[in-house]
Amino acid sequence: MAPALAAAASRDPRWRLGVDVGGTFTDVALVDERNGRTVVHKTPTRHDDLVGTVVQGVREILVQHHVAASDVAYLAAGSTIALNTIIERSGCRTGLLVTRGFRDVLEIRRNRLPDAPNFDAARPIPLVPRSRVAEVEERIHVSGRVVRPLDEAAARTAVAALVEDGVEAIAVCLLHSYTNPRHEQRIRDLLAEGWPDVLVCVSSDIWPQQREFERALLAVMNAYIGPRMVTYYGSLEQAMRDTGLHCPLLMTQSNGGMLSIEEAARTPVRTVLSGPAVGVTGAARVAGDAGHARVFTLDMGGTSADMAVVDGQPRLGTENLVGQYPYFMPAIEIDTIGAGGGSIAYWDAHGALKVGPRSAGSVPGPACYDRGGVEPTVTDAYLLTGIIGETDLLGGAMRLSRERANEAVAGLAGRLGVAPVEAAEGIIRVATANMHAGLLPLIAKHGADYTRFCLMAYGGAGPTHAFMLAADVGIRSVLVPATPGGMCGVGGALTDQQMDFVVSGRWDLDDHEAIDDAFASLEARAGKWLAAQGIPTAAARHHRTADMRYQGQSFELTVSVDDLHEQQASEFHRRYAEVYGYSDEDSPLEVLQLRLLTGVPRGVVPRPTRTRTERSATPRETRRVSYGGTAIEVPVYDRGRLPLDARMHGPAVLLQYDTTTFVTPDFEFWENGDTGNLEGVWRS
Amino acid sequence: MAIVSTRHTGSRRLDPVTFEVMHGQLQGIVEEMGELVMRCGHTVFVKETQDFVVALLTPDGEVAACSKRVGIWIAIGLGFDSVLAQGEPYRPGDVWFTNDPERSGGLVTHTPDTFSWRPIFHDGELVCFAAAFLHCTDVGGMAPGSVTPSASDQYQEGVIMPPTRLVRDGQVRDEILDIYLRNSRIPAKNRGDILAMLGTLDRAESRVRQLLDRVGAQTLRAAMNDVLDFAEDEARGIVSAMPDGDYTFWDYLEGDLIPGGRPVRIRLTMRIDGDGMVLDFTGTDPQVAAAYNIATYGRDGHYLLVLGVVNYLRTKKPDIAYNSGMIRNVEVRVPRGTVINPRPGAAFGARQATFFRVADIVLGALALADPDAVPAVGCGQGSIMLASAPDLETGTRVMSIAQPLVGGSGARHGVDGTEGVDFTTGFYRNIPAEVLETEIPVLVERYGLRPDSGGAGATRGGVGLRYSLRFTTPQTYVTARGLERFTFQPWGRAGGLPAATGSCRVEHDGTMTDVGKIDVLEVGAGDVIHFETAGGGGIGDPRRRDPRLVLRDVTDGLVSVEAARDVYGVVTADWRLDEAATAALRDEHRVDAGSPPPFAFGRHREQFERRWTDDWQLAVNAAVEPVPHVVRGYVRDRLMDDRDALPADSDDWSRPRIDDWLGTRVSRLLDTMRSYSQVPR
Repeated sequence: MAPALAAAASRDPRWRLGVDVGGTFTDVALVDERNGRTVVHKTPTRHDDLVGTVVQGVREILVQHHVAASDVAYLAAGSTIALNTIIERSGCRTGLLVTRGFRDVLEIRRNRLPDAPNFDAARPIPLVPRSRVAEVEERIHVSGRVVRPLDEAAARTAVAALVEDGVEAIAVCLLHSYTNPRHEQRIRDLLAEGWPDVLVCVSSDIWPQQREFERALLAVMNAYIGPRMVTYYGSLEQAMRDTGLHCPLLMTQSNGGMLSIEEAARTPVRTVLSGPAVGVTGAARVAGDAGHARVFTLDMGGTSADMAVVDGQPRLGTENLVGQYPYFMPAIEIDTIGAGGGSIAYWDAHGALKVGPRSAGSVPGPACYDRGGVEPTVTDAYLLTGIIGETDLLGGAMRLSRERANEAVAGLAGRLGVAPVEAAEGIIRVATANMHAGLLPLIAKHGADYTRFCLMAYGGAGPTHAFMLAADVGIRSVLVPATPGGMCGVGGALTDQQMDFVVSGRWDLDDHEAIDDAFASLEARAGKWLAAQGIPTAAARHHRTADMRYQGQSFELTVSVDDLHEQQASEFHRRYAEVYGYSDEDSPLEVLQLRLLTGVPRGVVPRPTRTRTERSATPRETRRVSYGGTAIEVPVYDRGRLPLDARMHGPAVLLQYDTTTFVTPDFEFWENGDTGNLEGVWRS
Repeated sequence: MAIVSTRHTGSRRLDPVTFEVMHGQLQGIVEEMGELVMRCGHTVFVKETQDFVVALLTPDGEVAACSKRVGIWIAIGLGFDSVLAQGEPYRPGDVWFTNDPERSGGLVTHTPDTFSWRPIFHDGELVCFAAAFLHCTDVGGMAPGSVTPSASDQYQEGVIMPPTRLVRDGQVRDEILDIYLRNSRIPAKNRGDILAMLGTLDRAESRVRQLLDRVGAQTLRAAMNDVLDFAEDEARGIVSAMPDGDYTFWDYLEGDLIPGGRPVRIRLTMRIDGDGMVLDFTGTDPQVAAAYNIATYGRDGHYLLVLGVVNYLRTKKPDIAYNSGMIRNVEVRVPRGTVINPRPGAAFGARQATFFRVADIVLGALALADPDAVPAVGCGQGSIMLASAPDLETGTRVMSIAQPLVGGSGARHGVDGTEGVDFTTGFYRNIPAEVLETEIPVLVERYGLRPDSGGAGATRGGVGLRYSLRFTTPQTYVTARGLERFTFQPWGRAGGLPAATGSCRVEHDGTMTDVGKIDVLEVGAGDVIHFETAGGGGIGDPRRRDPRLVLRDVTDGLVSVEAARDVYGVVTADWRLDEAATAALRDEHRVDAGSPPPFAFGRHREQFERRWTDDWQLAVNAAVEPVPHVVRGYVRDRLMDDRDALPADSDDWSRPRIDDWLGTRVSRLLDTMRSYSQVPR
């Protein structure tokens, strides 16, 4: 397929589709490239028919908005299928080939137990059992020299035994293949010749970085989810064609960018953490368009709050986890805290009020949903304190039960010796503190000066809690996008197609020639990739970064090296001081990885024009809200009818279809007529 | 749900909501501190194995908060109270540091551990301290790494800094730091580590100040006291659920590298009385003239004595408030002059072997008190292997930790042990072979699990590891401190079998030599060193293990076909279970000999204790009690040699007869020594 994207962009103005297949709902966003108008449509996710769900969502939104399938420029879709396949351990029967002596690379991991002081601690169980790991005779030296040649006959025998054992896919990870992939490539060829039906994934193809366990794991994950993802992408592509969409189909990936569907099928491991990542990319784009370069994103749903740091670009990290497994390809770094609308509050026997990480989820849900939940949750506390009303949700389509919420909180209130409304306020304070404490290490890791950051809130509960969190931490500005409930779908429609390339080694910062050579080889790889995607080289943007550290350290800082060589050292010291509070300019530096991020910008979407009619600063009602230890009178507005660009004072409750925003008294806020975002600033 | 008493909550200073809010804030600050040390550290010890601790202290020096995410898990019970007075009066911008086990009264327990603390003021008033320690890889002394089992006194273990002000008015006193670094083989890396530690104290201060600006000193103080009280209540609640009584257990350091070469026994009676606990180590062997002593000063709740208790509490209540309040109810009794409370001058470097053994012993006593909650013992070793090799390109030597040598955990009730990693040493991160081969000229030939090394049982102990390293340079030196469990097996429980012991062999020109525990070993190009580490003990009769699990172990290659048949009574063929043959084999061996003994210690210990009964060992220690400290070890060795020469009937002597025999000998030895010293020279 691979129709040229640049060509697509040059045709008549068209529509972009963003799809996010979530656990409960599938969001489809439709963006009009001509005027930036964005609409979001939700469809319940049918887990037994994900492709059907996507088709339905796409059809519905196209019909509703009278858009012809042939007018769609491209569709970008994300899903959690790859992630869930790993977490639920429902992937294919997979084999692994390793260098002799390293059969247990997956078993031993990096040794450290997640919670060793606990006698019940469990070691993460490998995706490939020991019985399906085979050793091959070969050895490559750290320099790339072959110490022992590959015993091809023995390798064939090992493969035959694995195939006999019923494996559908085989991962290969040989020592030092990141520096000399010859043996891995030979095994790949042997497999292609002799066993064309077996999916083969070699570690140097997928992510050629030093560290055998982490690299093997990426190859294994890719093999493990491979067959299922190939099937899924295949039927998705077919279904889209049947729906009349002949545009490029792009899949969102963990680094926040997009991949062609063929590429995604070949390396589905790149999509594993795409779900929340694409929301962050979308948020970064929306915030950036609104003039906010430094952003903390807060995606708060039913079970948890996902937080990430954007500093110009979303910060990528290489220490993310997929379930219990490390994932060392660059992925948008997201910290998850067990604080969502459904988080359960309980009384600790020794005298403390605790909230989460256990959640009532969507089934049974908070007590006030009246679907059988009896334990008090954060949402029940929102209702009892008056932050949300009984008919706020889904435009009143879903009525909340104050009675059930009261019953659920009564026990806690009794323990605390206070009225239920005070207990509810306590629940909210503790949930806020949990988020605050969870945000601290993230701030630390990125050296973020939070007084200069903006908190961007989305997800069902994000806008409800954002101003309270900002007030607690001392963040002075808050942003709520126009459609906070559909950020992940919107993100897909707004992000760029992009790909990472890496080369591992050890460079002296002064060795400009070697570094330039390494980047040149990365750009050559990028060029091949662009050609395969049918993208003209001129359309691409390359971003060079280096993972650097003081000689002797183990953790690197990623520093942009688009600048002159001379500035790289000072840029590192500056960034180091920013993150860690000091720098050591006498200490020599070393470069560990060079990376290239190649992106294909999707073109700017103009801001939507807003209608200025039927707007009014008169609240639809006034509500008593318990906040800060007292009951305050809070005006309630329909967000869609707020006057544009008119500064108003908190407190306020703002209603919209997919969420309720609570502006605390210490903020002023306005609906930005230009961007469609709600802005809030601290009234110091 | 049961109604649980909330007896102490009335005395708390903060309401339950503010309490929880502040608890989260304090934890957030120490987690950030930990991140910083790990990311900024320069040595493998700090950045990979994470041998460091960060904490916030009350003005009295109690650990009110410490990291749960990173670092080594020995912060609970760190007693800063013994050093804080030495820095008074504190001024803003001070940082004090020390690595002196004796002048710090047992806060420091070996010289590489470099402790530091910084006062935090609010409106001129001292509110708390930020504190940290990290293991500096080398602080001088007789061996690279400053830790060698054969050190006989602390002056062979590097520079010793009594508590000293390192930073004044926010400025590092370079003249002080220079003394410390001048004594190290790797001053630049140590400097990097120490700057990381100072950086984290700085960050902690600014975070605490931000918090103080929001809540004020009164709330912060109240919060620190409340979280300590809270943890204490939780711990007391857990201990009060244990049956009252005395639980006695002992185990051994193998002692091969200690002069005399005898096992060193650590003997514990754990007394549970209501919600309090006493750890009484009376009967423990005297201090040794090697680096295995722990400077505890017999302090209540000392961090290197209570790890087993802390782990038990964290198992019972995983979200227990993690601070020193947890062990306020733990009283310690350790006689002076023993290996875990030595007199001045002793060597401490390799005390981690002792510390792991103490944790095992506490586990054994807990197993008597609360059998179902506690696993069998794990590999009992967290040995650090180091290699130093010539680098022809630079003309210098390169040195790196090769790998932490650890092994399997003990089996749990209903759940197998963990393979290749256990609960005492599970904080170590290993070093990827690809990274190690970048650091030093070696080839990792094998790094894998060791089949048939887990103690058999209804639930199986985790298996140990096999680690083989090929050297490519001459004159390469290898050290591996803290090797243990080469002879005394990790014990099984309740019918479960003990695990396989570890070993160290060297392959040279095709010949394999068993070299036993190593202190410093020279190897050459082409030589291969092979380590095997112990597994963990099993629980329950292996013949009651679910045959399908045995088959899975056979298929995975963790249990051999032979062991499955001979030990588990499970017959397999071609990766299939032969159910009929299994049933027949298990029937044939069915014995109903009542309930099995609580522990299976293995043949080596059983043979040793046939001669060296509890009475004999206690009697020897009692007999040398009156002997002057300076010659006590000598006299004790003579007594033990003499006792070893006694005929077999002496094994069954009554205690009075043993005491009598020993008393006579001690008098005679002392008389002889005194007569020598009276001879004019």
